Amino acid sequence: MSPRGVDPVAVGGASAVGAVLLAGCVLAAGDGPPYAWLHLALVPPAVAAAFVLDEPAAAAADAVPSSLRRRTAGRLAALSVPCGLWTAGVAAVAVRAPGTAVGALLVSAGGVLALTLAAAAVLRRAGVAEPGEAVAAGAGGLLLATLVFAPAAVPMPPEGTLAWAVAALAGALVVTLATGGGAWPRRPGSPPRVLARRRR
Amino acid sequence: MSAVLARPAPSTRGATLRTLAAAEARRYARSPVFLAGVLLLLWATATSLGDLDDAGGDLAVVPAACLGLAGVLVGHSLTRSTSRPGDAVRAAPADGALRTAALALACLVPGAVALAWAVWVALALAAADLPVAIGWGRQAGMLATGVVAAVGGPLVGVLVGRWTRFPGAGLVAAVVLTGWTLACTAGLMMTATRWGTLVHLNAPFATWTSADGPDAPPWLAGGSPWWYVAYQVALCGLAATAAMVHEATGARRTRLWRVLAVLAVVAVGCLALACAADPTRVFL
Repeated sequence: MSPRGVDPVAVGGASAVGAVLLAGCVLAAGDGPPYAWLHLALVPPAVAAAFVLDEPAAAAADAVPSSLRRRTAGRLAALSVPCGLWTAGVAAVAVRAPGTAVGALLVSAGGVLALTLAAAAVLRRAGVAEPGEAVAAGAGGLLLATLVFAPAAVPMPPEGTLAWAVAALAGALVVTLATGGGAWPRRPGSPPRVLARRRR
Repeated sequence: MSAVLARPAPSTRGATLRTLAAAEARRYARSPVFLAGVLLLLWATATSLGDLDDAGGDLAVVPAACLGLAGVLVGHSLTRSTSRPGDAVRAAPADGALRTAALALACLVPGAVALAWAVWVALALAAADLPVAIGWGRQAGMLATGVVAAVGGPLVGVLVGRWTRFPGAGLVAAVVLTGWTLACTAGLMMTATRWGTLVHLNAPFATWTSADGPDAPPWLAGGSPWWYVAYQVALCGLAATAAMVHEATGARRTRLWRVLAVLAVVAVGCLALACAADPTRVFL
């Protein structure tokens, strides 16, 4: 599967900004893990996740014999870029600051990305062809607001890992449910359902 | 050419700007992100006012975040929404620079809310009858930084909306502003020198109180709050002018570039004066 149709500017641009911030985190990690900077660096991957499900040509794509779940699964491959960058960045920070809670950072990022994706999937299911801008504003705004008002919330210290793991699973479940039950379950070799009905 | 397509005469430009600015201000006031920011501002202030101390000036971070940072998203989305219709908007009897000026004027909406907030906090501080170690002039200056930041954020959103087209640009701008502000807190960890004050105050928003440790007594950073407010106002002017340059043509574009250069010099001068004040930290 390939992330065909994903806007490379949105995902690539956000990932590039995230990479710059993570590089700053690595530089700032001399005296200990820079959690505030890591919190800020989590915003660009969340933005990238918000834009992954954007389908500008949704009207045309909905008419082809490929289910929403299948198309979504294909698009999720694009998430490997921000996820890979985040994992590499956290690992690099951990090398410079051995006390870094690597597991907690990875799980909290997984939770944030899953919840962002879930919001986009729900909007996409509701018929919004391009939910990216709204979801990115919501997710990014919440992350920035927590950075100012509740800096301990994200990324969570180890004791909050379980909560973020549950959030990640809940997000994944919502994405699965929101993209399921499409009108076009494609079976290899079988004609699209509309054509089959017309033949009868 | 029809009368609808004709550009307004110079005498009517002011009236057109007022009409456009009023329309944009209404759109700004109805933005869900702005309304959510106002609710967050009220909640955060109500919870903070219950725990007042003589460092109350640092409450300015609340409007800076709730109205300024959120305003980056609002300003960006308002600007992009007027860019998308393309030909229809270009056919309207107002040029791009005038439309950008109207958007910039609409950014006074969060400023008005932040000003009302500052008056509320100042009255609460006065009513609490706290021992004011900072002094009212300095306290007012620190509160004013939050009001100017509430206008500056949306102006940056307008600037980014005019000059960029990639999705998520507004949020990236908000992240950059937050990163710039966060990076400049390094100045608070340096020794109390004018160089440390410069590192601290070159940010678009600065907090003024800090401490050397969790149990250490808080102190007030050096520098002049009012010159810092002037620096912030100059930055706001730079953002608004740079946004207008995008659509301006001919002699007006040249004039706007000159204004930008003058504002840049003014900003540097104000920052220098803010840092020239006594860098000694005052323990509260």
